[in-house]
Amino acid sequence: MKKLIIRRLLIGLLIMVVASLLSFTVLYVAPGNPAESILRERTGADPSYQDISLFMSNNNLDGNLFSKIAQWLVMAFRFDFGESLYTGEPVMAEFIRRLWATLQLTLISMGISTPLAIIIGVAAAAKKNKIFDHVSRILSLIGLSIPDFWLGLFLMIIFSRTLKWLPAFGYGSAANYIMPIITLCVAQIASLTRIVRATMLEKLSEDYIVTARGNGLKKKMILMKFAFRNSLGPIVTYLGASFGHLLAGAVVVETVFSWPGVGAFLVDAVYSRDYPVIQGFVMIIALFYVVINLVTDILYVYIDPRIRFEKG
Amino acid sequence: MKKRLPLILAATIGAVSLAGCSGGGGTGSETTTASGGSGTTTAASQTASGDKILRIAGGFDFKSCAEARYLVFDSLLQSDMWGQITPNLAESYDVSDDGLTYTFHLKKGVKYHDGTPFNADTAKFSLEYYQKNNSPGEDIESITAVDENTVEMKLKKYNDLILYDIATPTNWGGVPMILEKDVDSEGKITGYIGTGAFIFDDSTYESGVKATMKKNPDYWGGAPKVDGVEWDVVSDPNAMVVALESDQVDAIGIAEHHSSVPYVQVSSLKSKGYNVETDETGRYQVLEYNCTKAPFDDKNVRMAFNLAVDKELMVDTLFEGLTEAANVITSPDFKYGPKKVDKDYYKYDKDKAEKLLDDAGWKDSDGDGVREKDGKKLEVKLIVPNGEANADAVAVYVQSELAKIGATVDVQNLESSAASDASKKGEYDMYVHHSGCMPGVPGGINPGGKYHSSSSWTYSFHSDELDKMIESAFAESNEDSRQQQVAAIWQYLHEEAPCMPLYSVKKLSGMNPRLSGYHVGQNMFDMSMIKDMDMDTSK
Amino acid sequence: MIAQTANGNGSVSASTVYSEKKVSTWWRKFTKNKLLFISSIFCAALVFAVVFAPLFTDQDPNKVDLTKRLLQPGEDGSFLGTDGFGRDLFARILYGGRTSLGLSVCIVVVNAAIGLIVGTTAAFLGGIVDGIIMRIVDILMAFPSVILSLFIVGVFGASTFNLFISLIVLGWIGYARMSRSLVLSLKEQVFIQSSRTLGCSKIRIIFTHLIPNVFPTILIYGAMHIGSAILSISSISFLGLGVQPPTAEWGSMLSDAKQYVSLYPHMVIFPGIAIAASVLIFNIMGDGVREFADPHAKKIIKT
Repeated sequence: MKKLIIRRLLIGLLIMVVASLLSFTVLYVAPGNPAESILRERTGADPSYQDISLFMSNNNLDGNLFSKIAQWLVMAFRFDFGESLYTGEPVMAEFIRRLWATLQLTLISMGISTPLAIIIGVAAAAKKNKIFDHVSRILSLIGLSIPDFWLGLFLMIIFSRTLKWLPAFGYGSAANYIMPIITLCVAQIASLTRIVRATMLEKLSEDYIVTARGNGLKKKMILMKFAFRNSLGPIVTYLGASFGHLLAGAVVVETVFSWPGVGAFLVDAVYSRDYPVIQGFVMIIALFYVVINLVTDILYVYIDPRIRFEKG
Repeated sequence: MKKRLPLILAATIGAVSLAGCSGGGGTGSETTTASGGSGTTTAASQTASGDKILRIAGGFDFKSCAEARYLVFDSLLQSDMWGQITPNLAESYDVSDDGLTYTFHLKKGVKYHDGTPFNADTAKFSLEYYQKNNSPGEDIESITAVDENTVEMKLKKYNDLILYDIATPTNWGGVPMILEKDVDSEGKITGYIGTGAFIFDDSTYESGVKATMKKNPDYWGGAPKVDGVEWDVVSDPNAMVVALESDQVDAIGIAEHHSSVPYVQVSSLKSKGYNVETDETGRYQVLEYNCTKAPFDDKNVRMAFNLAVDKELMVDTLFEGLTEAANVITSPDFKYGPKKVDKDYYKYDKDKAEKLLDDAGWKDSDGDGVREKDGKKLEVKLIVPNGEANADAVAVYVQSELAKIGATVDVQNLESSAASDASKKGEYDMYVHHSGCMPGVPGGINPGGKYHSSSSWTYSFHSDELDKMIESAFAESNEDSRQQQVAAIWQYLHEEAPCMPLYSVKKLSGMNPRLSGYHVGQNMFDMSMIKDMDMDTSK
Repeated sequence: MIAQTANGNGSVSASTVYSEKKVSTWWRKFTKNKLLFISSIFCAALVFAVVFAPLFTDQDPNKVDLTKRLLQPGEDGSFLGTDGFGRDLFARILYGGRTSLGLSVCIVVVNAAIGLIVGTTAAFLGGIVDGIIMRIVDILMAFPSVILSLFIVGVFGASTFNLFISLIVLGWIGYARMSRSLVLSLKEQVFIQSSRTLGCSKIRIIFTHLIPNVFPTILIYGAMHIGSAILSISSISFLGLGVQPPTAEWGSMLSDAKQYVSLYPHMVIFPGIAIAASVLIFNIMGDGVREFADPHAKKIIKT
């Protein structure tokens, strides 16, 4: 297994490098340049050609694509991505701060939605085709159908503007977390409940459960000891995938609530062509993706020892 | 292995939910983390100590926008809204007879926030920083500190427009009075130690989140009335309004030079008791034409389009009557604005517009409602840069108005960097833009400006005749003679209809009634009026 | 077995001969699956309303009339009111549905087609080809999808076509992975092995044996993702970078209406309901289709 983990990590490294290079190259050949947007933001006026070329040479931005890539490679190996052209802050420090903001949202909403979804999902599977099952299924389908930005907008109008209970934006105090987390949780609970229910039902239909039932084992015991334990694998896989998804995918919620997260920052960086930030962020997000996948796979093996660690 | 299973499971779920609880549970847990926010005040702004902290919503990060620098930095001179230069940190200045040597007499006794005295050396450093980082800096021959309080700047050639840059404390395109330690090894201004009314607190700054400033009690222009300013980044205009109404911030719109408060929200804000200020800044929103290719290489087509859009109706309905329709290229109030042109020349006249198009050869011969000429349909591409105030609404309206005279408009939204790239490559027919405002010469009639062929607006209206007029006007040092030449430029441009003026972009600021003392800034970017504002914490 | 009896799967015969009896069994099974039956009716109604929009309203969805702006529902003969430009909201929702629904179906179909071909080819050819394709998939998966979409529409210009492309770039991956795993298990089956020994060309095997076998499962998987495609389109449009005016689209209607939300909530409520309701219908139908399908497909597609 050790050998396979190393192999996976090497492939992961490749993924990171290629993802970062690819995003840089595409952006480099795409229209627009950092000088243009940064100068306009700073002075509020259209920069002249001279101002742009001056900015480019002052910030070491001129030169062809290949020399840029070479420069980038040196930086990447030192794991130092330089400074944001926009704010002048080091990319790594910025990333850590942004990541922390997003991670809080992600972890809290997963922390709330996971136990809830597991309870609802298991109960629904246990009471298949009963009222509880139907209601929870319909509710989770509705939860999946509501656009998150729409929900966020309405929460903001109700709780900030009309009732004035919660702050509309901001980051740091407990009240700031409530609305973004509710918004994220709705879809998260809905989809995880469906996964749990479907996996449980599948396990419950397997031969050994049927046998156990035939042998007169208590229903509760069957549910928890056999079916649920064996459902954990797919659930963990799903959690891993949705964790990665939430990390950068919370961008819509971050935009609605002005949350200083990774996703919103990366989008801004793309639009202002802040090359150092884009390269650094894409690479580190890819690293996260690689690590999460690896951890998920290892967890999977621990949870279900029947699975061999197959090649990726 | 099997025995460890429940343990691992418990650990995973436990860790996840624990993280959840600790984060959502209370404010206490955040302070222990390295980067956790210091907490946004959600209740009214007075803190335990009774400090008056003015909370402004800023659309952008503090350090990446020009407006913010007016709070921390000062400039040698200042320009008012319409272009008159007045003294600031330089008490006075002399110009030599040939107009090439400027002598600035500095205010005495001014100190930077860290105690460093402001003198000829720091002013010289700041001017040299400008010289190195800005293209007009090429015109500067030398900068010398004559004595403790006098700085001399020699130019290579006559260019009095450089004074507008010296009158602006933004770090690009302007000359903030900085210190050597404000500049990092790569030449960026990252330190925020200035001489301004507010002292920037670097330890609480979080990029893209917030910034705080304390008042500068020793400010040479008089200590600010509030004890500090908190800059909270709220990127979405609607969230800004909600933030004001839920008392998370005291003022919105002040920190943007464009109009960020949606016009539709004004009457509702006013009815709830908030003060909304509407300030004329002279910036007009215009649609630029690509004058180098059909159909807009024909003056009559440009003119027809200018006459076809009912701007008065748009302003009265879409913008709730809060602003005025524009019928000249830029505000006539500017020092070098179009003062004498015929203001009814572009007045809405649909019949005349249709006749102009007919005469220009654009006729609807196949009866599909769209005009054509030489087998080509009258179809134009309108670029809408993301973030241009009200541009989305303008695009829809212009599209519907032009459809009435048989022209199809394809609207294309682009993020601003890609949009300006399209403008440089001429990949547009029309482009939502604005006429410019102070500092500088609004309207683009200066050398290097939009209507000069050396500008980055290569596809705007240019002619050799116009180039000569512009170059001659701004090489002229006699003000009366220059004004006459400028009037001739405007007359010439106005008749050519190089763009479609739409309306005056007024700057809206919404404020909590507990604030008082607001007045309009020196220009669209200036927010240093905050130092004159007070707040009644009992409200 | 507990799971399957509820759906009445036991009655399906193994015979492949089409007959009256088969069709009627199929129909009985279809109507018995309440979720599928009801959602199909709703879906048909939705599609009908959207396709034949002119039957339901005589208003031009794009007609700007500033004298009739911001009408409340019911006011001045306007069913759902008007927007900030005086355009009829009901007409815009109906015509907007053409864009939203049409585009999402196109996206799902194209994604499924690309994924099917790529996944099948990778699995069948194996070796280096499979390795390269899977590495490409790995790399693409490391990109955050929403951000990549915003990148494409922002930088290359907001248009219906770029919006479509932005949802294809990463969208096909799920289908490719699923087709690949399906083919990997099929590959070892007798009929494939025998056609190989009979000397059938690889391309022929892929197109005549593998793809037709994988197709039904992919179809179900696709049906279940129409809802999420509608949501993705509306998210991007909501951020202002989607379908361009004057074309109506639900997400961009919401984006336009954002600034009116507290004063004229109807402008935000109705397009939002249109999105949520149609996503719900497609989600329920997707669920129904999966249950309706054979147990083999059901096992592979979890949710």
